[in-house]
Amino acid sequence: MLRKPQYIALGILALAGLIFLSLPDALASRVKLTLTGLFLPVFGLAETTQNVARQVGNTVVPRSDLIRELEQLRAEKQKLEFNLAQTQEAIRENERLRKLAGVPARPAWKLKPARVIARDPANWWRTVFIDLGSKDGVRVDLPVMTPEGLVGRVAAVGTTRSQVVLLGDQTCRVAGLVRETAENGIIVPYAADPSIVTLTYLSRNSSVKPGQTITTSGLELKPGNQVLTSGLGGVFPAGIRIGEILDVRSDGFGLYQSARVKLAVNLNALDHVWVVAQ
Amino acid sequence: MNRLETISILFAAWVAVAFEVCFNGFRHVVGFQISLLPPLMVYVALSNSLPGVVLLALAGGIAHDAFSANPIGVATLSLAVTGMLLHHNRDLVLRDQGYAQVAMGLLASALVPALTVLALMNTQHPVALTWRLLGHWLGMAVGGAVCTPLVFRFFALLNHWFSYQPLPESRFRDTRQIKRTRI
Repeated sequence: MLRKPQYIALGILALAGLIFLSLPDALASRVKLTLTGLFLPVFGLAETTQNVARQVGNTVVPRSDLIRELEQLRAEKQKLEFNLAQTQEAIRENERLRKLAGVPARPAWKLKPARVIARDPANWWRTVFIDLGSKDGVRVDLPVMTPEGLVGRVAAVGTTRSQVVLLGDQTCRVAGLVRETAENGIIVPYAADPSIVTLTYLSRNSSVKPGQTITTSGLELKPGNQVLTSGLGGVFPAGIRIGEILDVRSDGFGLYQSARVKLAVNLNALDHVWVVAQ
Repeated sequence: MNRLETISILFAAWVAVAFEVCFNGFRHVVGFQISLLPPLMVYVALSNSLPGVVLLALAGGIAHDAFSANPIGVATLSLAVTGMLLHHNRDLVLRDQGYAQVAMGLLASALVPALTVLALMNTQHPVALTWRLLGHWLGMAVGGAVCTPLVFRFFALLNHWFSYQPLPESRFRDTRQIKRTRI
């Protein structure tokens, strides 16, 4: 049997828990972001430690490696300069044609660099915290990406910190598009592996048997096909890389197809990300 | 519960949560994070008073949920239930024995996530129960069991440094005194 003080303690805890659980979402989110402020010294310490480790690492890199890397980077820079010149010409042409056709110009992305400062301690969610907040113009639902591809979207915003929900989390669903076939689908989590997501609700035209090649819209969905954001839904702009198809299967009692997609970004090794302020 | 205990419990909860959110070593190696709050709760429940359990459940649980997508308060409830259970039965546990610490750590580290997931199953965004999650749960339980004796050692060291130590007993005994008398 419990004693009187234990009943009181249990009552206090149950009451506190119920009060917190019944807070409105907006208020709970604000309380959470305020509480994370108590850990600012840790974030600063972690950043300082990383910088020191990087500096120590830099001092022990052999000079020959640095020279080789410099030469590689110079060659890559020249290649990128050629690509940039071509791309700028294509952009100008695109703008001219859009004007002629009366199609409004696509807004340019404003990218803001951010550092990942904390990860979700619970193993069943996939969220991270970044060091940008409303002070930096970040707001809820802005896309977050790296040069490799899409990372997720901003879920909650504090003054100096924001919570980003990553691809593969249940609350982050993205309208995806297979570049080669122009098939539209929705990116949903794949439970067995965090580096894979499922592109589902892809249309299908014929019955599928194991080992049979699947065709949709007259075009074949193959492993290795690139999956991009389609821009439908209005949260994620079109054309951000998500990953590539691993395999395709019939789903929903044969009503549609689903494809397993290997994510382009390694979400476990996120360090720096870019917030896309459209 | 004295002031030193209160401060050390709050500080330990802060360090435990900071470790969970900033240290990614375990995530890179084993694919999941080990929680230090259940081992801490084992120590507090077995060695401390009831207000200590309440304090750790509140401070640790809320700080944990602040960084998580969990609704705030879920971890508080699961930590509290585990802590109360251990505290209620603490007279039956040989808390100074290593195997007892490991067993209690295993129990608490398995119970806290299980209760949290159970609570989350009744929310708007229930957790998907998968084999992978089961593997993580077992890993967290084992990780917590290994960490529990370390937590006990750490607090023993803290107590040694910051608490008054008992004075060593004098070797003088009345019965051994040679009484000199006139013959």
